[in-house]
Amino acid sequence: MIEYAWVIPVLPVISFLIILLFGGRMKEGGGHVAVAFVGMSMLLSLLTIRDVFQVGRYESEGIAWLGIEALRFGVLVDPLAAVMLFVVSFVGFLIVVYSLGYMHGDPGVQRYYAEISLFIASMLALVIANNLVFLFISWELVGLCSYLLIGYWYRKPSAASAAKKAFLVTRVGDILLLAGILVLYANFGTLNMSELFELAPAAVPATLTLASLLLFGGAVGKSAQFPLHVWLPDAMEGPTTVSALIHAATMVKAGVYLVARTYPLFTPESLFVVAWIGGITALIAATMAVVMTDLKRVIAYSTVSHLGFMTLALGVGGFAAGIFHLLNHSFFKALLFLSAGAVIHAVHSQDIRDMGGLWRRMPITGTAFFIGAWSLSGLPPWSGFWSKDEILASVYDYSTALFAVAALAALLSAVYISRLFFIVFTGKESEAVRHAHEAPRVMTVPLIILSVGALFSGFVTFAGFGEFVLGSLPEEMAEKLAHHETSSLVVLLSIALAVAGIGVTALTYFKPVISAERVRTTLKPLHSLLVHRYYLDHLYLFFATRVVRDTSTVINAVDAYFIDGVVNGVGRVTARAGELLRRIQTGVTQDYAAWLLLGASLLLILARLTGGAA
Amino acid sequence: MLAYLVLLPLLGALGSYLGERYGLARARSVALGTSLLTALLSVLVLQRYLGGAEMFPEQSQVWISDFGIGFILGVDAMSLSLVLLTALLYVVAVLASWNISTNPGRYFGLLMTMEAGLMGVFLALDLFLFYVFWEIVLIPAFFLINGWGGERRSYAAMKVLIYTHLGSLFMFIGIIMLYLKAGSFSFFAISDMLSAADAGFKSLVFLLLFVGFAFKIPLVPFHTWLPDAYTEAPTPVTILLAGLLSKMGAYGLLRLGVTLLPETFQSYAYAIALLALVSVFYAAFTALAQRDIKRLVAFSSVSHMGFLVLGIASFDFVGISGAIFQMVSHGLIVALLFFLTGMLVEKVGSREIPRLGGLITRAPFLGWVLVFASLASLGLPGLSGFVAELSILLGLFSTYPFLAYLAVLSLPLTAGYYLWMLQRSTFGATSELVEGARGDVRWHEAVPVLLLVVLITLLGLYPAPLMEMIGSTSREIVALIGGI
Repeated sequence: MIEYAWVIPVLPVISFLIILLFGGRMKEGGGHVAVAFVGMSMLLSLLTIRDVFQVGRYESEGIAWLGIEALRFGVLVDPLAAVMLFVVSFVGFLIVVYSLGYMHGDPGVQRYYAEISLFIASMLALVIANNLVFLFISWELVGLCSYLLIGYWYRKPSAASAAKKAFLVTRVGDILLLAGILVLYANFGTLNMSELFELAPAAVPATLTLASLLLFGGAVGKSAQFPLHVWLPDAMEGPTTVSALIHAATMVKAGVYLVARTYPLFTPESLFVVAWIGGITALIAATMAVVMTDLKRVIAYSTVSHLGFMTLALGVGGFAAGIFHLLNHSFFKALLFLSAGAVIHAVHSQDIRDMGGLWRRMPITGTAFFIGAWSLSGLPPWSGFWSKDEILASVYDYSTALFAVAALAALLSAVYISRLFFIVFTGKESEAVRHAHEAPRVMTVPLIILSVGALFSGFVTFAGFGEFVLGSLPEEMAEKLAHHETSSLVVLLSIALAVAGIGVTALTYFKPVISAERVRTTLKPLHSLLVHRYYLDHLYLFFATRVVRDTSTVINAVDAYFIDGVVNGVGRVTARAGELLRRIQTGVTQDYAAWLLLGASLLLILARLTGGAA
Repeated sequence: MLAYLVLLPLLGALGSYLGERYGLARARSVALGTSLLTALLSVLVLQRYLGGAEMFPEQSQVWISDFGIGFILGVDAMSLSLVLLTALLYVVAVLASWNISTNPGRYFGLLMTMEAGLMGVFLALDLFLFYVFWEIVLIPAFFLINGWGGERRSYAAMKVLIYTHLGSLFMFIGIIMLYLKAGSFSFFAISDMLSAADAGFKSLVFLLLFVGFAFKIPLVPFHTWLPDAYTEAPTPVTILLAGLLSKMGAYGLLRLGVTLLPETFQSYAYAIALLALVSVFYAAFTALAQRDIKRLVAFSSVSHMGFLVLGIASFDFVGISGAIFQMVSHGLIVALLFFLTGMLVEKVGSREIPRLGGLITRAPFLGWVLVFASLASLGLPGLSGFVAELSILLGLFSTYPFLAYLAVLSLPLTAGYYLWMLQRSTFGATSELVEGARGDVRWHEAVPVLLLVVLITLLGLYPAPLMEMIGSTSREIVALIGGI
């Protein structure tokens, strides 16, 4: 079936077109069409993945999209793409099913299902693209869908503004990616990835470092890495299903995927940058997650932090560990978002201070959230533990300083997620919670399936996941990066950190021995720094208004008053001169005839003199 | 066959002028009929071209022997692309003129005369003929703005007339210098003559021609006629000004500046690229400050034309192909954008961004197509603008990497002003003015809009056919300096 891999993204495109044209006349705005086509796409993905286990790798001939060989677009399916295909199609399918319940009754569902279909199509195309420009096109299209879906409730000014912000901030990363593509094209004359990887070992290292860092710039935007992470928390203005699918499980992984996809182009120097950006992101996002009071924003910062972990893993050479975490994170984070969605659906609020004691009202949702949180916190034996452990082990071998950063971030992960669980599900029932009730089955069934995934996806590591994924890299490189023994010290430390984090939080929010209020007042400056998100948003806003907007006002004024003023001035001078010349315009026909005759004779004389041969 | 492309619109002009006495309906149906016939004819020309017929030149006759003036018409892939674009945008423009009620006969007469001129410019291979057609385009444009434009129409019309005539004057002097040296206006004779001419002469001629074209494209600082003209002209005329008249400048630059004087062009290429880059940023920043959507699109158009010139200046196969592709793509996108601003005035009554808001709830068709057109203009992949931009950047990077890095920096700026406009005009809370908007869409609005949307998408998704056709021209151009 692998030679039909190109059909995988085509199916959701068909669904997009059907819903766009006829969705208005269908039940649920064509939601069932989306479920059917995304479901078929998932089945085909699964069959393709089965083939990858046998043949390992498949690349199609492709078509010359722009009429030149450098831009021949085809399909590339290898173990790395297979992992991502599985995540996108499987989680995508579950979330579309969940949407039937979550979006029920919304007046714009037709648009919702059309955009979700287009998103899944573009995301699948991104995964199997074999050419960097093909990848870039899909990359921008998922960005477009993200823009449209963040702004889904466009009547809300905050949603319209968040959508614009997400598009513009990621656009900054996108132009770096584009510049990287230009560098590669100018130096290698091709943009086919397999060809690039063959040429890369013989290239000048400085060129590769430059190109790979520019590509990584794209990843920083898309995967919300420091300093371009600011758009992701605002993106929570969209429906929660969108947050789960696009802003947790799939699109934000595209940056990490890009780094993994183009891994052979990275040099030790560029990987050093990748590692540190990842580490910094993991830590600062985790610190912000600890103080936020909006349910979805806490999970959003957690996503940023865990994307940082993945980037960090790739940077320090933990290729398999990074992809492993990508897989696990997709399950437990989608699970957390969807259960948060069920909570928001029931409580009609996103502020965790309105919540409390929900466990008894919503046992299935609560259990699902509990499983997701357990997995994320990094306690054994569920999925998050295994991948976090492998990442920490790789970092430990790379740099002690970076290991300290990663360990602190891991500790904070346990703190913020248990804080969320204790505040929302335990303690006294608040007013808003009293009318809450469990979500319908169309929503809980996907939750249950995702729970199973979040619990058990970690065990694939024992089935040779690492070697399988490393099969995507050139052989020499794969051997160098092959799995090595994890020191038991790291394992013990990792468990101790998680236990400590949960313990402290339990003592604060479950059995209040420590007063959260006291901690806040003692650490006032730190708390305010975190609540204001390190003032980065302020800085960007300052740049956008004071620098860009003001420059534009100045240039516009120069254009209107100076340049055009000069033009009009010249015009007035000319007009005065014209007054003088007007004397010639006597208005007498005979005069004009005389001028005409004179002119014509001159022309003819000129022609005879110059020979005028035709 | 090519001569009919000029003749047919002229007949249409006469027909609709005379048709006025039978009322608006007669005048406009004559115009629509001839523009459709012209479009059909240009498709037939395309078919013959693809069939491999010799069409460069197709027809060559002596016209005024005393002055070495010939009636020489021909097409290559570049001029053919523009002929097709002209034919298409004329159908759009005529439909956009559906409700012109003052002096419809005169209006459509002028409009169709302009089409004859445009076709002539893109077909002529005799420089005198080229100049005559060039002027034939200008005169109707003046009268159309002056007669059917907005409040400040006579100021804008006068400005266009003086400004572009000034530009033409430079070009004309350049052409006369070429004629005096070659003894003929024929493109081919001049080309032969130039292969032996000295560099100083070529430099002078090139600069004269370049200034002429820079006025028309326009490049900053020769642009100030444009915002007034585009804003004051009636919608259909703006579509033609932005979609086609600006292409005359770019076409002239390629046909005369580059193909006749390749080495001279090359020695100025860096300077031209710099000027184009200034245009790109200057116009983008100015666009960001506009409150009137039509003015915003006008400045955006200047910025995109700067991008096109960057592609030409790259003198690279992919870059020049990208520039020619951009002529078509920009023509389609800017036509759509101006069509929509016209609809905006008709349905909502204002183009002022701060007075709009929530458009998409009251007029969903208009709102969504505005979103589409903005995305196309800001270079969203999957739509035609991206293909052009990408090729231009690939070409430019091979020649001037540093300038390419700078050019890339303009992309978020473009995204910025379009998204900001959308956020405030289309999305968000519904404004008082928009509450009273009409959401209806008539067939003569839906047909051209959907036609443009489909073409922009198709060219964006699969550009290879057009790119391969264009490639034959750009390959010849690059071969002039020994490339590929």
